[in-house]
Amino acid sequence: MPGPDPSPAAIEMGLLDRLRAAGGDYVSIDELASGLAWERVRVLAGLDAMSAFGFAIERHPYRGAAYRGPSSRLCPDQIEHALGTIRIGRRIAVWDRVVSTNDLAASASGSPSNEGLVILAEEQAAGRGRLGRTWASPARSSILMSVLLFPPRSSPTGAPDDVAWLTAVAAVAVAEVVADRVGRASAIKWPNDVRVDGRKIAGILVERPASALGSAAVLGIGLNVNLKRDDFPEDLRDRATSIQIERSGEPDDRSEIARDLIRRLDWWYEIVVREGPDELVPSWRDRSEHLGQFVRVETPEGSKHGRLVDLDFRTGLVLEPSGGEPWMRLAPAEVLAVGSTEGDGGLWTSEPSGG
Amino acid sequence: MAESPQESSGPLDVERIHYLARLMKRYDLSSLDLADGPVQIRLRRRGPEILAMGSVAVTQPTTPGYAPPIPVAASPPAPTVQPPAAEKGLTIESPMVGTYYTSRAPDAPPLVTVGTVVHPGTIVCIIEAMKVFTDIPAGVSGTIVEVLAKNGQAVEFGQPLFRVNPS
Repeated sequence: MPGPDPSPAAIEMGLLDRLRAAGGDYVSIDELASGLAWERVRVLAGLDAMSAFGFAIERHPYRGAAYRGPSSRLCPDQIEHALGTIRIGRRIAVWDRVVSTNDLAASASGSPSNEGLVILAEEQAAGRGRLGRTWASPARSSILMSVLLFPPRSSPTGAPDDVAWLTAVAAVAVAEVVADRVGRASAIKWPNDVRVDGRKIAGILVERPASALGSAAVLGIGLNVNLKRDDFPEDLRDRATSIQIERSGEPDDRSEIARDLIRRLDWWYEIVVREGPDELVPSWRDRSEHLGQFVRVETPEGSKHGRLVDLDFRTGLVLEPSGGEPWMRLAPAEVLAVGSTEGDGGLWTSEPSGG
Repeated sequence: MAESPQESSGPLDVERIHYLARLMKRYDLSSLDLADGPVQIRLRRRGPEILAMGSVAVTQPTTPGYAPPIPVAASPPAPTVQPPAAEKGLTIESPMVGTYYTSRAPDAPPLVTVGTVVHPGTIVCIIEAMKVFTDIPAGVSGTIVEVLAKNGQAVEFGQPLFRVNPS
Protein backbone atom coordinates (compact mmCIF):
# COMPACT_ATOMS: atom_id res chain seq x y z
CA MET A 1 0.00 0.00 0.00
CA PRO A 2 1.39 3.40 -0.89
CA GLY A 3 2.41 5.55 2.02
CA PRO A 4 0.89 8.83 3.04
CA ASP A 5 1.05 11.52 0.43
CA PRO A 6 4.68 12.56 0.07
CA SER A 7 5.96 16.14 -0.01
CA PRO A 8 3.97 17.53 2.85
CA ALA A 9 5.02 21.06 2.01
CA ALA A 10 4.21 23.22 4.98
CA ILE A 11 1.68 25.78 3.92
CA GLU A 12 1.91 29.07 5.80
CA MET A 13 -1.68 29.56 6.83
CA GLY A 14 -1.17 33.17 7.88
CA LEU A 15 -0.01 33.99 4.40
CA LEU A 16 -2.80 32.04 2.77
CA ASP A 17 -5.40 33.79 4.94
CA ARG A 18 -4.09 37.21 3.93
CA LEU A 19 -4.20 36.38 0.27
CA ARG A 20 -7.65 34.92 0.49
CA ALA A 21 -8.91 37.90 2.46
CA ALA A 22 -7.99 40.11 -0.49
CA GLY A 23 -10.71 38.40 -2.49
CA GLY A 24 -8.60 37.78 -5.57
CA ASP A 25 -6.91 41.18 -5.64
CA TYR A 26 -3.16 41.50 -5.72
CA VAL A 27 -1.37 42.06 -2.44
CA SER A 28 2.18 43.39 -2.67
CA ILE A 29 5.04 41.38 -1.25
CA ASP A 30 5.98 44.30 0.99
CA GLU A 31 2.49 44.52 2.36
CA LEU A 32 2.42 40.80 3.06
CA ALA A 33 5.85 40.96 4.69
CA SER A 34 5.03 43.90 6.93
CA GLY A 35 1.60 42.54 7.82
CA LEU A 36 3.09 39.25 8.97
CA ALA A 37 6.28 40.83 10.31
CA TRP A 38 8.27 38.52 8.06
CA GLU A 39 11.29 38.99 5.87
CA ARG A 40 10.39 39.35 2.18
CA VAL A 41 12.31 36.17 1.47
CA ARG A 42 10.04 34.17 3.75
CA VAL A 43 6.98 35.53 1.99
CA LEU A 44 8.43 34.55 -1.37
CA ALA A 45 9.31 31.07 -0.13
CA GLY A 46 5.81 30.72 1.29
CA LEU A 47 4.26 31.67 -2.05
CA ASP A 48 6.51 29.19 -3.81
CA ALA A 49 5.43 26.43 -1.46
CA MET A 50 1.77 27.23 -2.12
CA SER A 51 2.25 27.17 -5.87
CA ALA A 52 4.19 23.93 -5.59
CA PHE A 53 1.34 22.40 -3.62
CA GLY A 54 -1.10 23.38 -6.32
CA PHE A 55 -2.74 26.53 -5.01
CA ALA A 56 -3.55 28.91 -7.83
CA ILE A 57 -1.39 31.86 -6.86
CA GLU A 58 -0.87 34.49 -9.52
CA ARG A 59 2.37 36.43 -9.28
CA HIS A 60 3.15 39.80 -10.75
CA PRO A 61 6.58 41.41 -10.62
CA TYR A 62 5.21 44.74 -9.37
CA ARG A 63 1.78 44.05 -7.95
CA GLY A 64 2.66 41.02 -5.82
CA ALA A 65 0.50 37.93 -5.50
CA ALA A 66 -3.18 37.10 -5.84
CA TYR A 67 -5.15 34.09 -4.68
CA ARG A 68 -6.99 32.48 -7.56
CA GLY A 69 -8.18 29.25 -6.04
CA PRO A 70 -7.50 26.22 -3.88
CA SER A 71 -5.17 23.38 -4.64
CA SER A 72 -6.77 20.38 -6.24
CA ARG A 73 -5.05 18.39 -3.50
CA LEU A 74 -6.27 18.12 0.05
CA CYS A 75 -4.09 20.36 2.16
CA PRO A 76 -3.49 19.01 5.70
CA ASP A 77 -2.30 22.39 6.97
CA GLN A 78 -5.47 24.03 5.77
CA ILE A 79 -7.66 21.30 7.25
CA GLU A 80 -5.95 21.47 10.64
CA HIS A 81 -5.76 25.24 10.76
CA ALA A 82 -7.67 26.54 13.81
CA LEU A 83 -9.70 23.35 13.79
CA GLY A 84 -10.74 23.73 17.41
CA THR A 85 -12.32 20.30 17.83
CA ILE A 86 -12.45 18.28 21.03
CA ARG A 87 -11.90 14.78 19.75
CA ILE A 88 -12.24 14.32 16.02
CA GLY A 89 -9.24 15.47 14.03
CA ARG A 90 -6.66 15.26 16.79
CA ARG A 91 -4.69 13.44 14.16
CA ILE A 92 -5.28 13.82 10.46
CA ALA A 93 -3.62 11.76 7.77
CA VAL A 94 -4.09 12.46 4.08
CA TRP A 95 -3.25 9.57 1.79
CA ASP A 96 -2.90 9.64 -1.92
CA ARG A 97 -4.38 6.31 -2.85
CA VAL A 98 -5.70 3.67 -0.50
CA VAL A 99 -7.69 0.50 -0.76
CA SER A 100 -10.16 1.66 1.84
CA THR A 101 -9.99 4.55 4.31
CA ASN A 102 -12.23 2.56 6.65
CA ASP A 103 -9.74 -0.31 6.73
CA LEU A 104 -6.90 2.07 7.49
CA ALA A 105 -8.79 3.70 10.32
CA ALA A 106 -9.83 0.30 11.67
CA SER A 107 -6.23 -0.86 11.66
CA ALA A 108 -5.49 1.92 14.14
CA SER A 109 -8.19 0.77 16.54
CA GLY A 110 -5.74 -1.07 18.81
CA SER A 111 -4.62 2.06 20.58
CA PRO A 112 -6.83 4.48 22.50
CA SER A 113 -4.53 7.33 21.55
CA ASN A 114 -5.82 7.03 18.02
CA GLU A 115 -9.31 8.12 18.97
CA GLY A 116 -10.44 10.90 16.68
CA LEU A 117 -8.02 9.89 13.94
CA VAL A 118 -9.19 11.17 10.57
CA ILE A 119 -8.04 9.37 7.43
CA LEU A 120 -8.56 11.14 4.15
CA ALA A 121 -7.67 9.79 0.74
CA GLU A 122 -7.49 11.37 -2.68
CA GLU A 123 -8.47 8.11 -4.25
CA GLN A 124 -9.87 4.84 -3.02
CA ALA A 125 -9.67 1.52 -4.76
CA ALA A 126 -12.33 -0.37 -2.87
CA GLY A 127 -14.85 1.86 -1.21
CA ARG A 128 -17.53 -0.29 0.27
CA GLY A 129 -21.03 -0.56 -0.96
CA ARG A 130 -23.07 -3.48 0.13
CA LEU A 131 -25.02 -4.18 -2.99
CA GLY A 132 -21.98 -5.03 -4.97
CA ARG A 133 -22.11 -1.79 -6.87
CA THR A 134 -18.80 -0.12 -6.80
CA TRP A 135 -17.87 2.98 -8.60
CA ALA A 136 -14.64 4.75 -7.87
CA SER A 137 -14.74 8.50 -8.09
CA PRO A 138 -11.84 10.15 -9.93
CA ALA A 139 -8.78 11.09 -7.88
CA ARG A 140 -9.04 14.41 -6.05
CA SER A 141 -12.72 14.79 -6.75
CA SER A 142 -14.32 13.80 -3.48
CA ILE A 143 -14.04 13.74 0.25
CA LEU A 144 -13.28 10.15 1.23
CA MET A 145 -13.01 10.26 4.97
CA SER A 146 -12.95 7.79 7.82
CA VAL A 147 -12.99 8.69 11.49
CA LEU A 148 -11.94 6.33 14.26
CA LEU A 149 -13.91 6.58 17.50
CA PHE A 150 -14.41 4.59 20.67
CA PRO A 151 -18.03 5.22 21.49
CA PRO A 152 -19.14 4.51 25.04
CA ARG A 153 -19.78 0.83 25.59
CA SER A 154 -23.38 1.21 26.55
CA SER A 155 -25.37 3.92 24.96
CA PRO A 156 -27.28 6.37 27.13
CA THR A 157 -30.37 4.29 26.44
CA GLY A 158 -28.59 1.21 27.72
CA ALA A 159 -29.34 -0.87 24.66
CA PRO A 160 -26.30 -2.81 23.53
CA ASP A 161 -27.29 -2.64 19.89
CA ASP A 162 -28.20 1.00 19.86
CA VAL A 163 -25.72 2.02 17.21
CA ALA A 164 -27.88 3.77 14.65
CA TRP A 165 -26.90 7.11 16.11
CA LEU A 166 -23.41 6.65 14.68
CA THR A 167 -24.86 6.74 11.20
CA ALA A 168 -27.15 9.59 12.19
CA VAL A 169 -24.28 11.72 13.55
CA ALA A 170 -22.49 11.42 10.23
CA ALA A 171 -25.66 11.99 8.21
CA VAL A 172 -26.57 15.20 10.03
CA ALA A 173 -23.02 16.56 9.85
CA VAL A 174 -22.73 15.82 6.14
CA ALA A 175 -26.19 17.22 5.37
CA GLU A 176 -25.32 20.45 7.17
CA VAL A 177 -22.05 20.84 5.31
CA VAL A 178 -23.73 20.17 1.97
CA ALA A 179 -26.53 22.66 2.61
CA ASP A 180 -23.97 25.24 3.63
CA ARG A 181 -21.84 24.79 0.52
CA VAL A 182 -24.61 24.65 -2.04
CA GLY A 183 -26.91 27.15 -0.37
CA ARG A 184 -29.90 24.88 -0.61
CA ALA A 185 -31.63 22.24 1.43
CA SER A 186 -30.12 18.80 1.64
CA ALA A 187 -31.95 15.74 2.85
CA ILE A 188 -31.12 12.52 4.64
CA LYS A 189 -32.52 9.51 2.88
CA TRP A 190 -33.11 6.64 5.26
CA PRO A 191 -30.79 5.59 6.64
CA ASN A 192 -27.46 6.72 5.26
CA ASP A 193 -27.56 8.82 2.13
CA VAL A 194 -27.49 12.56 1.80
CA ARG A 195 -29.26 13.95 -1.23
CA VAL A 196 -30.01 17.22 -2.94
CA ASP A 197 -33.24 17.35 -4.91
CA GLY A 198 -33.48 13.59 -4.83
CA ARG A 199 -29.95 13.03 -6.07
CA LYS A 200 -27.36 11.35 -3.96
CA ILE A 201 -24.41 13.50 -3.01
CA ALA A 202 -22.95 11.51 -0.13
CA GLY A 203 -23.03 8.08 1.40
CA ILE A 204 -22.17 6.93 4.88
CA LEU A 205 -21.05 3.56 6.12
CA VAL A 206 -20.10 2.81 9.69
CA GLU A 207 -18.09 -0.19 10.71
CA ARG A 208 -17.52 -1.52 14.19
CA PRO A 209 -14.36 -3.58 13.99
CA ALA A 210 -13.67 -5.94 16.84
CA SER A 211 -11.05 -4.15 18.87
CA ALA A 212 -9.02 -5.17 21.85
CA LEU A 213 -10.35 -2.01 23.45
CA GLY A 214 -13.93 -3.06 23.18
CA SER A 215 -16.01 -0.74 21.14
CA ALA A 216 -14.33 0.84 18.17
CA ALA A 217 -16.31 2.48 15.41
CA VAL A 218 -15.20 3.82 12.07
CA LEU A 219 -17.39 6.44 10.44
CA GLY A 220 -16.86 6.28 6.69
CA ILE A 221 -18.06 9.13 4.54
CA GLY A 222 -17.94 9.60 0.80
CA LEU A 223 -18.97 13.06 -0.39
CA ASN A 224 -19.00 14.04 -4.06
CA VAL A 225 -17.37 17.44 -4.41
CA ASN A 226 -15.68 18.38 -7.67
CA LEU A 227 -17.39 16.10 -10.12
CA LYS A 228 -19.11 17.17 -13.28
CA ARG A 229 -22.10 15.35 -14.65
CA ASP A 230 -19.92 13.58 -17.19
CA ASP A 231 -17.68 12.24 -14.46
CA PHE A 232 -20.45 9.92 -13.31
CA PRO A 233 -21.17 6.67 -15.10
CA GLU A 234 -24.12 7.12 -17.38
CA ASP A 235 -26.57 5.15 -15.30
CA LEU A 236 -25.91 7.32 -12.27
CA ARG A 237 -26.13 10.74 -13.90
CA ASP A 238 -29.74 11.33 -13.04
CA ARG A 239 -29.42 9.93 -9.55
CA ALA A 240 -26.15 11.32 -8.31
CA THR A 241 -24.84 14.82 -7.94
CA SER A 242 -21.91 16.74 -6.50
CA ILE A 243 -21.23 20.01 -4.78
CA GLN A 244 -19.77 21.37 -7.99
CA ILE A 245 -22.89 20.48 -9.96
CA GLU A 246 -25.11 22.05 -7.31
CA ARG A 247 -22.96 25.21 -7.40
CA SER A 248 -23.72 25.64 -11.10
CA GLY A 249 -20.43 24.13 -12.11
CA GLU A 250 -18.17 26.10 -9.82
CA PRO A 251 -15.59 23.85 -8.14
CA ASP A 252 -15.27 24.07 -4.38
CA ASP A 253 -12.38 23.96 -1.93
CA ARG A 254 -12.18 20.38 -0.69
CA SER A 255 -9.81 21.15 2.17
CA GLU A 256 -12.27 23.73 3.45
CA ILE A 257 -15.12 21.25 3.19
CA ALA A 258 -13.11 18.54 4.98
CA ARG A 259 -12.35 20.96 7.78
CA ASP A 260 -15.96 22.00 8.10
CA LEU A 261 -17.08 18.38 8.10
CA ILE A 262 -14.63 17.40 10.84
CA ARG A 263 -15.88 20.25 12.98
CA ARG A 264 -19.53 19.32 12.59
CA LEU A 265 -18.86 15.64 13.21
CA ASP A 266 -17.03 16.56 16.39
CA TRP A 267 -19.81 18.87 17.49
CA TRP A 268 -22.57 16.28 17.07
CA TYR A 269 -20.52 13.39 18.40
CA GLU A 270 -19.75 15.25 21.61
CA ILE A 271 -23.40 16.15 22.05
CA VAL A 272 -24.52 12.54 21.73
CA VAL A 273 -21.77 11.22 24.00
CA ARG A 274 -22.60 13.84 26.61
CA GLU A 275 -26.36 14.02 26.39
CA GLY A 276 -27.51 10.97 24.48
CA PRO A 277 -28.93 10.34 21.02
CA ASP A 278 -32.19 12.13 21.89
CA GLU A 279 -30.40 15.39 21.23
CA LEU A 280 -29.76 14.37 17.67
CA VAL A 281 -33.25 13.18 16.81
CA PRO A 282 -34.85 16.54 15.92
CA SER A 283 -32.07 17.62 13.56
CA TRP A 284 -32.04 14.23 11.93
CA ARG A 285 -35.80 14.07 11.60
CA ASP A 286 -36.14 17.58 10.21
CA ARG A 287 -33.67 16.78 7.46
CA SER A 288 -35.26 13.48 6.59
CA GLU A 289 -36.41 13.13 3.04
CA HIS A 290 -39.93 11.78 2.45
CA LEU A 291 -41.30 12.88 5.82
CA GLY A 292 -44.99 13.50 5.24
CA GLN A 293 -44.86 12.05 1.74
CA PHE A 294 -46.24 8.89 0.24
CA VAL A 295 -43.57 6.25 0.22
CA ARG A 296 -42.86 2.66 -0.54
CA VAL A 297 -40.94 0.84 2.15
CA GLU A 298 -39.17 -2.36 1.27
CA THR A 299 -39.20 -4.92 4.06
CA PRO A 300 -38.23 -8.57 4.22
CA GLU A 301 -41.97 -9.30 3.89
CA GLY A 302 -42.47 -7.18 0.81
CA SER A 303 -43.36 -3.57 0.05
CA LYS A 304 -45.49 -1.42 2.32
CA HIS A 305 -47.12 1.70 1.03
CA GLY A 306 -48.38 4.70 2.87
CA ARG A 307 -47.70 8.18 4.05
CA LEU A 308 -44.55 8.54 6.13
CA VAL A 309 -45.98 10.03 9.30
CA ASP A 310 -42.88 9.92 11.46
CA LEU A 311 -39.43 8.47 11.62
CA ASP A 312 -36.73 8.07 14.21
CA PHE A 313 -33.39 6.41 13.66
CA ARG A 314 -33.87 4.37 16.81
CA THR A 315 -37.48 3.29 16.66
CA GLY A 316 -38.10 3.24 12.93
CA LEU A 317 -40.86 4.48 10.67
CA VAL A 318 -44.54 5.12 11.14
CA LEU A 319 -46.63 4.65 8.03
CA GLU A 320 -50.23 5.64 7.48
CA PRO A 321 -51.53 3.18 4.95
CA SER A 322 -54.01 4.60 2.48
CA GLY A 323 -57.41 3.11 3.04
CA GLY A 324 -57.87 3.88 6.68
CA GLU A 325 -55.99 0.95 8.13
CA PRO A 326 -54.24 1.57 11.43
CA TRP A 327 -50.84 3.14 11.37
CA MET A 328 -48.00 0.76 10.98
CA ARG A 329 -44.75 0.92 12.84
CA LEU A 330 -41.71 -0.57 11.13
CA ALA A 331 -38.60 -1.17 13.21
CA PRO A 332 -35.29 -0.12 11.67
CA ALA A 333 -34.24 -3.73 11.10
CA GLU A 334 -37.37 -4.28 9.00
CA VAL A 335 -36.70 -1.35 6.71
CA LEU A 336 -34.56 -2.30 3.77
CA ALA A 337 -35.18 0.83 1.73
CA VAL A 338 -37.50 3.80 1.58
CA GLY A 339 -38.47 5.46 -1.67
CA SER A 340 -40.96 7.92 -2.94
CA THR A 341 -43.93 6.32 -4.68
CA GLU A 342 -43.76 9.10 -7.24
CA GLY A 343 -40.91 7.07 -8.75
CA ASP A 344 -37.67 8.89 -8.27
CA GLY A 345 -35.72 5.70 -8.64
CA GLY A 346 -34.89 6.26 -5.04
CA LEU A 347 -34.50 2.69 -4.00
CA TRP A 348 -30.91 2.26 -4.95
CA THR A 349 -28.82 2.42 -1.90
CA SER A 350 -25.17 2.54 -1.47
CA GLU A 351 -22.63 4.04 -3.70
CA PRO A 352 -20.49 5.99 -4.05
CA SER A 353 -20.07 5.21 -0.44
CA GLY A 354 -17.54 6.15 2.09
CA GLY A 355 -15.62 3.42 3.64
CA MET B 1 -48.35 16.98 13.25
CA ALA B 2 -49.85 17.04 16.69
CA GLU B 3 -51.24 13.55 16.70
CA SER B 4 -49.11 10.72 17.84
CA PRO B 5 -48.92 7.30 16.27
CA GLN B 6 -51.95 5.23 17.14
CA GLU B 7 -51.42 2.23 19.31
CA SER B 8 -52.93 -0.59 17.37
CA SER B 9 -53.72 -2.79 20.29
CA GLY B 10 -57.20 -3.86 19.26
CA PRO B 11 -58.19 -7.39 18.46
CA LEU B 12 -56.36 -7.11 15.14
CA ASP B 13 -52.84 -6.28 16.10
CA VAL B 14 -51.16 -6.15 12.73
CA GLU B 15 -47.76 -5.68 14.19
CA ARG B 16 -48.03 -8.76 16.33
CA ILE B 17 -49.35 -10.83 13.49
CA HIS B 18 -46.43 -9.74 11.39
CA TYR B 19 -44.08 -10.69 14.14
CA LEU B 20 -45.63 -14.12 14.51
CA ALA B 21 -45.63 -14.67 10.78
CA ARG B 22 -41.95 -13.89 10.70
CA LEU B 23 -41.28 -16.22 13.59
CA MET B 24 -43.08 -19.00 11.76
CA LYS B 25 -41.13 -18.30 8.62
CA ARG B 26 -37.81 -18.25 10.40
CA TYR B 27 -38.31 -21.51 12.24
CA ASP B 28 -40.28 -23.08 9.44
CA LEU B 29 -43.33 -23.59 11.63
CA SER B 30 -46.46 -25.09 10.18
CA SER B 31 -48.73 -24.16 13.02
CA LEU B 32 -48.71 -22.11 16.13
CA ASP B 33 -51.38 -21.83 18.81
CA LEU B 34 -51.32 -19.13 21.39
CA ALA B 35 -53.54 -18.27 24.27
CA ASP B 36 -53.03 -15.46 26.64
CA GLY B 37 -54.78 -16.31 29.92
CA PRO B 38 -52.74 -18.90 31.76
CA VAL B 39 -50.20 -18.80 28.98
CA GLN B 40 -50.39 -21.62 26.53
CA ILE B 41 -48.12 -21.96 23.55
CA ARG B 42 -47.87 -24.69 20.99
CA LEU B 43 -45.57 -24.59 18.01
CA ARG B 44 -45.35 -27.19 15.27
CA ARG B 45 -42.74 -27.53 12.65
CA ARG B 46 -43.15 -29.04 9.22
CA GLY B 47 -41.92 -32.59 8.96
CA PRO B 48 -41.46 -35.16 11.63
CA GLU B 49 -39.51 -33.31 14.21
CA ILE B 50 -41.20 -31.03 16.62
CA LEU B 51 -39.40 -27.89 17.33
CA ALA B 52 -40.91 -26.80 20.55
CA MET B 53 -44.02 -27.47 22.42
CA GLY B 54 -45.16 -26.56 25.79
CA SER B 55 -47.69 -25.12 28.06
CA VAL B 56 -46.75 -22.72 30.74
CA ALA B 57 -49.05 -21.89 33.53
CA VAL B 58 -48.09 -18.56 34.82
CA THR B 59 -50.32 -17.88 37.73
CA GLN B 60 -52.68 -20.62 38.68
CA PRO B 61 -51.95 -24.23 37.96
CA THR B 62 -53.86 -25.63 35.07
CA THR B 63 -57.41 -26.49 35.76
CA PRO B 64 -57.93 -30.16 36.55
CA GLY B 65 -59.61 -30.86 33.27
CA TYR B 66 -56.90 -29.31 31.25
CA ALA B 67 -54.98 -31.74 29.15
CA PRO B 68 -51.50 -30.69 28.25
CA PRO B 69 -50.90 -30.59 24.54
CA ILE B 70 -49.78 -33.89 23.23
CA PRO B 71 -46.66 -33.89 21.15
CA VAL B 72 -47.17 -37.26 19.55
CA ALA B 73 -49.46 -36.22 16.75
CA ALA B 74 -46.96 -35.07 14.22
CA SER B 75 -44.18 -37.51 14.81
CA PRO B 76 -44.32 -40.69 12.80
CA PRO B 77 -41.71 -42.93 14.28
CA ALA B 78 -39.98 -43.91 11.09
CA PRO B 79 -37.00 -42.17 9.51
CA THR B 80 -35.06 -40.94 12.44
CA VAL B 81 -34.17 -37.43 11.65
CA GLN B 82 -30.78 -36.53 12.97
CA PRO B 83 -30.97 -33.72 15.38
CA PRO B 84 -28.67 -30.95 14.26
CA ALA B 85 -25.09 -31.89 14.89
CA ALA B 86 -23.42 -31.24 18.18
CA GLU B 87 -26.33 -31.78 20.47
CA LYS B 88 -24.22 -30.65 23.35
CA GLY B 89 -22.36 -28.07 21.35
CA LEU B 90 -22.17 -24.37 21.79
CA THR B 91 -24.00 -21.77 19.83
CA ILE B 92 -22.93 -18.33 18.80
CA GLU B 93 -25.86 -16.00 19.13
CA SER B 94 -26.52 -12.65 17.58
CA PRO B 95 -25.79 -9.86 20.06
CA MET B 96 -28.04 -7.48 18.18
CA VAL B 97 -30.93 -7.00 15.79
CA GLY B 98 -29.90 -6.54 12.20
CA THR B 99 -29.02 -8.11 8.90
CA TYR B 100 -26.60 -11.00 8.89
CA TYR B 101 -23.71 -11.08 6.44
CA THR B 102 -21.25 -13.92 6.02
CA SER B 103 -18.53 -11.69 4.60
CA ARG B 104 -17.30 -8.13 4.47
CA ALA B 105 -18.17 -7.60 0.85
CA PRO B 106 -20.49 -9.31 -1.62
CA ASP B 107 -17.59 -10.76 -3.56
CA ALA B 108 -15.53 -11.80 -0.54
CA PRO B 109 -15.46 -15.38 0.73
CA PRO B 110 -17.38 -16.12 3.94
CA LEU B 111 -15.50 -15.33 7.12
CA VAL B 112 -16.14 -18.85 8.42
CA THR B 113 -17.69 -22.03 7.08
CA VAL B 114 -18.44 -25.47 8.48
CA GLY B 115 -15.14 -26.87 9.67
CA THR B 116 -13.53 -23.54 10.45
CA VAL B 117 -11.71 -23.55 13.78
CA VAL B 118 -12.60 -20.45 15.74
CA HIS B 119 -11.23 -18.72 18.81
CA PRO B 120 -13.08 -16.22 20.97
CA GLY B 121 -11.70 -13.33 18.93
CA THR B 122 -12.34 -14.83 15.49
CA ILE B 123 -14.79 -12.70 13.52
CA VAL B 124 -17.52 -15.06 12.37
CA CYS B 125 -19.91 -12.69 10.62
CA ILE B 126 -21.04 -9.11 10.22
CA ILE B 127 -24.38 -7.76 11.44
CA GLU B 128 -25.69 -4.58 9.92
CA ALA B 129 -28.20 -2.21 11.42
CA MET B 130 -28.81 1.23 9.93
CA LYS B 131 -25.65 0.96 7.85
CA VAL B 132 -23.58 0.25 10.91
CA PHE B 133 -21.66 -2.94 10.19
CA THR B 134 -20.58 -4.71 13.35
CA ASP B 135 -17.95 -7.44 13.48
CA ILE B 136 -19.22 -10.37 15.51
CA PRO B 137 -16.53 -12.34 17.33
CA ALA B 138 -17.06 -16.03 18.06
CA GLY B 139 -16.72 -15.60 21.81
CA VAL B 140 -16.01 -19.34 22.09
CA SER B 141 -13.37 -21.78 20.93
CA GLY B 142 -14.15 -24.75 18.73
CA THR B 143 -15.10 -25.86 15.27
CA ILE B 144 -18.07 -24.53 13.34
CA VAL B 145 -20.38 -27.46 12.68
CA GLU B 146 -23.43 -25.64 11.38
CA VAL B 147 -24.23 -22.24 9.97
CA LEU B 148 -27.76 -21.39 11.01
CA ALA B 149 -28.40 -18.11 9.22
CA LYS B 150 -28.38 -17.18 5.57
CA ASN B 151 -26.44 -14.30 4.07
CA GLY B 152 -28.63 -11.22 4.02
CA GLN B 153 -31.14 -12.61 6.50
CA ALA B 154 -32.68 -10.49 9.24
CA VAL B 155 -31.70 -11.75 12.69
CA GLU B 156 -32.99 -11.00 16.15
CA PHE B 157 -31.20 -10.42 19.39
CA GLY B 158 -30.13 -13.78 20.83
CA GLN B 159 -30.85 -15.72 17.68
CA PRO B 160 -28.42 -18.65 17.23
CA LEU B 161 -26.14 -18.08 14.25
CA PHE B 162 -23.69 -20.96 14.47
CA ARG B 163 -23.30 -24.28 16.18
CA VAL B 164 -19.84 -24.92 17.46
CA ASN B 165 -18.20 -28.11 18.67
CA PRO B 166 -16.18 -27.00 21.64
CA SER B 167 -12.51 -27.73 21.42
